Amino acid sequence: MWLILKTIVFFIFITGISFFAGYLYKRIFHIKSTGYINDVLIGLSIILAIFELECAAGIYLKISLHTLLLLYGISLGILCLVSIIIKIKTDGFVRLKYEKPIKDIHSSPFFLIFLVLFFICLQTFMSAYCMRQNTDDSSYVAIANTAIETNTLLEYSQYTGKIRTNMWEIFKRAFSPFQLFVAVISKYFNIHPAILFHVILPIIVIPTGYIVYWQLGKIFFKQNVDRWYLLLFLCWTNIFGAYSTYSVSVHFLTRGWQGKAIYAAVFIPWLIYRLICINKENNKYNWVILFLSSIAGILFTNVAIIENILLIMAYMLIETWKTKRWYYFINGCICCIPSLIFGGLMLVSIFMSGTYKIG
Amino acid sequence: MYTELIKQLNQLKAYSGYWILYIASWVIIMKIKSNAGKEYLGKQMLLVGIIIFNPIVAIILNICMESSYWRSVWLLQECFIISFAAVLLLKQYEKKKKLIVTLVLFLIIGCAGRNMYINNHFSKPENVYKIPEEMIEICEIIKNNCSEAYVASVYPVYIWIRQYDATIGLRFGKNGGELELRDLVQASERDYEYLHIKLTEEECNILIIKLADIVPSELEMYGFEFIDCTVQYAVYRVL
Repeated sequence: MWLILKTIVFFIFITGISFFAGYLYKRIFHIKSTGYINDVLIGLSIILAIFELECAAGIYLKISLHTLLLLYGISLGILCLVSIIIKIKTDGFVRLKYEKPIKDIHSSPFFLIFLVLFFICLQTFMSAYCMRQNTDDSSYVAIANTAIETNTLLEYSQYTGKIRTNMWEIFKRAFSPFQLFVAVISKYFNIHPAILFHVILPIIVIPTGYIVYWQLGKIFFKQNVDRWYLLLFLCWTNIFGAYSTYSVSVHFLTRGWQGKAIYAAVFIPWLIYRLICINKENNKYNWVILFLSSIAGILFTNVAIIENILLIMAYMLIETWKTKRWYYFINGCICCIPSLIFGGLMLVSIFMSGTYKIG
Repeated sequence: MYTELIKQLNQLKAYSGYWILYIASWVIIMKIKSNAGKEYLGKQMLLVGIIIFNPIVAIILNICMESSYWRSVWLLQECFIISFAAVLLLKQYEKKKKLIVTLVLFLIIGCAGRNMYINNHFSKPENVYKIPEEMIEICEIIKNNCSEAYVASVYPVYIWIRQYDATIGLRFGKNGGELELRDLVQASERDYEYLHIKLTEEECNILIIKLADIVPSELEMYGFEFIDCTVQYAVYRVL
């Protein structure tokens, strides 16, 4: 019972803070209506990007987990406070006038909606309730557990509990410390990291993945019924996506708590969505969130350092070629700066520590 | 160079059915007139494909990604593209025929792919941590009998211990620690005298081995003290 309560509180916490961060971001750029699903997703990218920057700096400065907890808590607190003050000043205490996230729901066949929700619930249930052994967890869960027990950030080996002598192990994880994000959440809510990883995260990650796909569907299809069909086929292709142990679907549905799975199944579609938003509407609001999203993506896995660059530059090169404007190419390069800096710092740190190895 | 690329892609151990479907989906997307996918996904994804399937880039990516070049295939988002093409195709049919087309497409996807929930080793968890109960039992035995434990254990015990309790130290894990010691503990036929010397050298005070593999009197002869056991594993103190 306590676990259900904590899960609900965690869900409200993460949605609430993401919403306030998204609202503040929208206000800064004087954007009026974007829909609250979009606000929450943008806010989520912002709070993840903040964590990425604070944690990466913290690892290099060798701060304790408690200091990071405090620092991140203060950052989120300030973010929410400013957002609430701005909201009261501009909108007053009144309820925000948002568009319904899913308009004309009655126009879509009930059975279709039911089937989509059934599949999403089934996938979430299977991931959150059932157990599937994965040896990678001996690293994922243990990093969070070790950070909590030792009150340090990556200084002790997750495999043995010994202080690390191989700096490669620290530097290769310094820029993708998703496990430490879970450790921080675990401390905030006093939930064992194993429970947070194995049970609670899939409940958040799988529906969030489909919400991102819904947003993508909004770009490609005008009618709601087509978007529901898209989700239906996505559910089906994911279920039959075990064509390889390393496919996106297998990562998404069987180990959705791992950073690389979240990146592959939720964050890449989100990045594609943001890139298409820029293609559709070229404004600062979209560029800045692409920049922040590229930072947030790296939090999940260091593979994102390369994949973000590949994806962003592919889109921007095509756009530059289509519009004959170098503006897209230059802005694309700016959005890749976090990846380049993090990648560069990682390589420099590794070479300086003299512990570089491949594989 | 191309053989290297194919070797790397073979790491995916993928069935070709889904990739044939993926290519067919692109044909559908490019064939159907005036769809947003052509504009926002077509050339961009083609460029991504050209980059990641370039043998020179593949070698560089493989080095940068620590021999996991296959992760770049994630960028292709095969499920989304297949689903998107399916909806585009579905839109070409009248309302009455949609159900039949949907079922046919479901059948094609089902045949090309592989069901996640069949033979994928899903099981009912024994507790809310999703850590086998026996592993938790082992952790409790260690904690109750040793204030500062440094453990050497057989697979898969070392996978689970620090997931449950990070106060317990291990001498080796999945990828780290004393790998020579790991080989000794994992060996089917163990030289317990030598094992004891190595464990003492590494300041290891707890040994966990499979009950089925041991003769208790033999172990006690070489300086191991029996602490407790679970259904499958025995916990020994290294004296």
